[in-house]
Amino acid sequence: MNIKLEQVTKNYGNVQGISNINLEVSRGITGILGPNGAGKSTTMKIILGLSRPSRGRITVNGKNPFDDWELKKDFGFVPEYDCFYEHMSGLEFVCYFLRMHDFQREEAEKRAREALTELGLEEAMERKINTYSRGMRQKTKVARATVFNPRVLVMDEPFQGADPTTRMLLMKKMTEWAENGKTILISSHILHDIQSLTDNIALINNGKMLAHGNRHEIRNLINIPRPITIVPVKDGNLRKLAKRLLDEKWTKATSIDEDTNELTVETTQTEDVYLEIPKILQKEKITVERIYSEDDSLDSLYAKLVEGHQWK
Amino acid sequence: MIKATNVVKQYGNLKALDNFSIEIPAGKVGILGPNGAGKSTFVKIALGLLTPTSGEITVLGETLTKNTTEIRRKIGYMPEHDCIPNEMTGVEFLIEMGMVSGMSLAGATERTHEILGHLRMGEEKYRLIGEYSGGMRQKIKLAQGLIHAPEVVFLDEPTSGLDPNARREMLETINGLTDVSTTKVLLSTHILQDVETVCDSVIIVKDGKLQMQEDVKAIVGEKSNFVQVRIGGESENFISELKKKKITVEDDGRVLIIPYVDHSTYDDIIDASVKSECSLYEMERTSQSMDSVYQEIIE
Amino acid sequence: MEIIDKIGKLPDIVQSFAKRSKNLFPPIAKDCIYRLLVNKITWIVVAILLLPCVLGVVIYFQTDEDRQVRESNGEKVYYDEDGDLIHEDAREEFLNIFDLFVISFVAIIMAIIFSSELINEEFENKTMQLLRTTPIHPFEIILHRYLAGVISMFAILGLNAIIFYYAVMMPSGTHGILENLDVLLMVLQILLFESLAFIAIFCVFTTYLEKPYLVGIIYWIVWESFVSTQNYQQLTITHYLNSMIFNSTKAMGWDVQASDFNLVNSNEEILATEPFTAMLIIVVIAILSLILASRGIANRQF
Repeated sequence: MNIKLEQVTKNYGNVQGISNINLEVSRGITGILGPNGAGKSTTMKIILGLSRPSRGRITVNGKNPFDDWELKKDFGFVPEYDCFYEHMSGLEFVCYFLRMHDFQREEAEKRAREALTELGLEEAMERKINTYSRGMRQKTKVARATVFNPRVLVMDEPFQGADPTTRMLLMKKMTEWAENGKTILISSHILHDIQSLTDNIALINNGKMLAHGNRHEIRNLINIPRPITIVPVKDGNLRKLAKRLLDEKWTKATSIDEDTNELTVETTQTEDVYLEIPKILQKEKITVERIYSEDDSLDSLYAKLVEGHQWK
Repeated sequence: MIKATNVVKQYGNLKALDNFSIEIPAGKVGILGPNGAGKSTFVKIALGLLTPTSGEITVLGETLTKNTTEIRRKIGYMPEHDCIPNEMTGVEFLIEMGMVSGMSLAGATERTHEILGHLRMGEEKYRLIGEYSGGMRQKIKLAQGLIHAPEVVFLDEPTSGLDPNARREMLETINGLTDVSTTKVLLSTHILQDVETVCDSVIIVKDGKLQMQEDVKAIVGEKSNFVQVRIGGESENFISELKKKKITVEDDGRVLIIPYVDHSTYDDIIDASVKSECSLYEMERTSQSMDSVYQEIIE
Repeated sequence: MEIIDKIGKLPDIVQSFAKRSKNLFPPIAKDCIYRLLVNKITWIVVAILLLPCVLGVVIYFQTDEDRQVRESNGEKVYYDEDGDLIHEDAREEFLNIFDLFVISFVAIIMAIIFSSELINEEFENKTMQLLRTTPIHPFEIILHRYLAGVISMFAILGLNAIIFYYAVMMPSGTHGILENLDVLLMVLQILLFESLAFIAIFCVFTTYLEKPYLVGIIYWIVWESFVSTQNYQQLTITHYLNSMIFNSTKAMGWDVQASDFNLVNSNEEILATEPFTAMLIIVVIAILSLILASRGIANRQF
């Protein structure tokens, strides 16, 4: 499914929810990140057709999700907040929504049982939801949203309150679903989880889309020299390599840490440097065991975003 | 710091703790385990909120059941659920909590400002708690657990519900606790990375039994037999260059995983990157993560 | 042009809704009826409804000895001290009390409570958001909840009418009870149409307004209690219900005047509507209200 937001603005009274958001996603997992109140949930609700943009255009496969109710058979939504019929059992709850998706009674019950069992709720599914722990509630929400095999899955903080086992299970499932061609949008405050799920990130802050792309592309938007750290396997090469790298015009500075045997190059160059460094290493016959940039981690990108570094 | 010997806690037919013995060292200790594993039962017993069915538990060398009020002075607790009044300011609430635990008004006031200074709370501390953000509420809860200068503080899910910035700040605060005081920290959480960043050692509990007790550095430092590579450009060219050398590459959509043989693996990767003209963003031998250790033990 | 287009498609849409309702109605009705029955306020209303019934039984035992019996055709017919037929008195008592207490008071309050439990609660619990991400039409969301509400309300009030009828008619014996079943049937009919109309109207309130309770009560006092006695009373549901009662009682041979039911304007002209027209108008109002409510859900922003 192709989801496209063009210049989408949403105001709540005088308060601006999101402004001029452009985003296009198709199959695969997209992580939506940002602080509380940045506009992640609003963006998700607009995509699901729960909310109409004040300005701009949203299309899902070319149709407007707010008006086209039949489009919604492809939507699975895991909301951030609790929304249950508390008096139902997990099984009844999932069945109820399957019926809304036009499944007959027997078929609905069969599918609901399967989905809940798969998520490890086989014992709890007959109990009332108001006895569930937070992790179980989270699993029930996910089961409800995925049981009818939707093509678009929108998950707002699906990992909150889930224990590590649940979280790993959900992540494994998500990877499977994405491989099967689903379009998945997920928001989470645990950046580590997003980083291990996907490399396709949308960063939102104060209702504005700051960046969309993989970590490398997002890093390129930040206008400050980046450090690239190189760790050779043997000692002694460190100084030689540092000297050699200083000859390059893209090197701004180098620094050496003897204790950890690390060499850090600061550069303003964004692309060629990653081609050049391997060439130099090969020519100089230096074996390195690690090349990385501190800045490329999602944690660091996120911190830079919120600390308000200059964005092009 | 905390020592449990053959502790059993039974709820009807359910054994929440089953012959649980442990000696928790000083420092920052993380407790992990699935829901219902017995984590919170253990913490509650150690806090003196529950009495064990049998067995003995000592905190800082003293038996809990005998010396409860005395020992409570030495223990601080930051609960998971929201338990702070909205209609007081942060400062008022903490001073009151200090006085409840036996401090004088002047002492409690001084202590409150000292702690809030450590927690980097600025002028917000004079605002009503009801107006606080999630991160600030968590800080007040933490301060409330620290107000009487306890020797041990239990933190129950201190980062739950916080956004990344607030979470980082909270973790930094917890990290700093042991630097500015002799307070020991026991941290219970669902987020394994929190333990990785904050704790010195970790214990994993499952089915009421201790499954593992280990140094965090020892776990996370251990290298695995794979090299993880992130490249730009045409990854197919890169993969086929490696294939020529009979090296199989697994593409998980984000990174390429290459089996590690010896140092020549690194040279092969550099070589493939040069020949295929792919930018080499990242190359690193993967190490064991808390995730994989946890998964191994729980499953 | 667009409207003509839409009307052209109407039969298809109605047909597809009817087909889907077989699968949609049972789970929704089960959930809604359950929610209505475990709601505390429902039981408070039921308790209030039972008060007059209890009172009727008490009066029966107190006046028991004053009755006189005469046998005719093997049946026991009861008369009061003055020699009048008890059941002719009692049936009027039944209708008057029931009209005043239930039809124009408790039933309306009940409709407000039910529609707010059915619709407003789902907004509050945010289950409505989940429903809006499923492929069911907003009209279906409202329709099946509405029908479940009508069934529950009619069942509770109908049962209450039967109990109350029995309690009031007890002094007139089996003969009197059987003789006046047509009054009971008429009351049941009124209750059905009342449920149909008021739940639909209050559903509109709950989908558009933040405080449906307050507005519902204002509507009841100003519109259904005051305007319904004035010159433009045809704008109120109460007018049509009164017309139905007036026409039916007249047909049953009771000695009634249009003014007894406020069915006259300030010039003392009779305004009573034909019973069939009244029923038709109520059904049309209900359907229009449901369409309006479904527009409210469709346009609701979350």
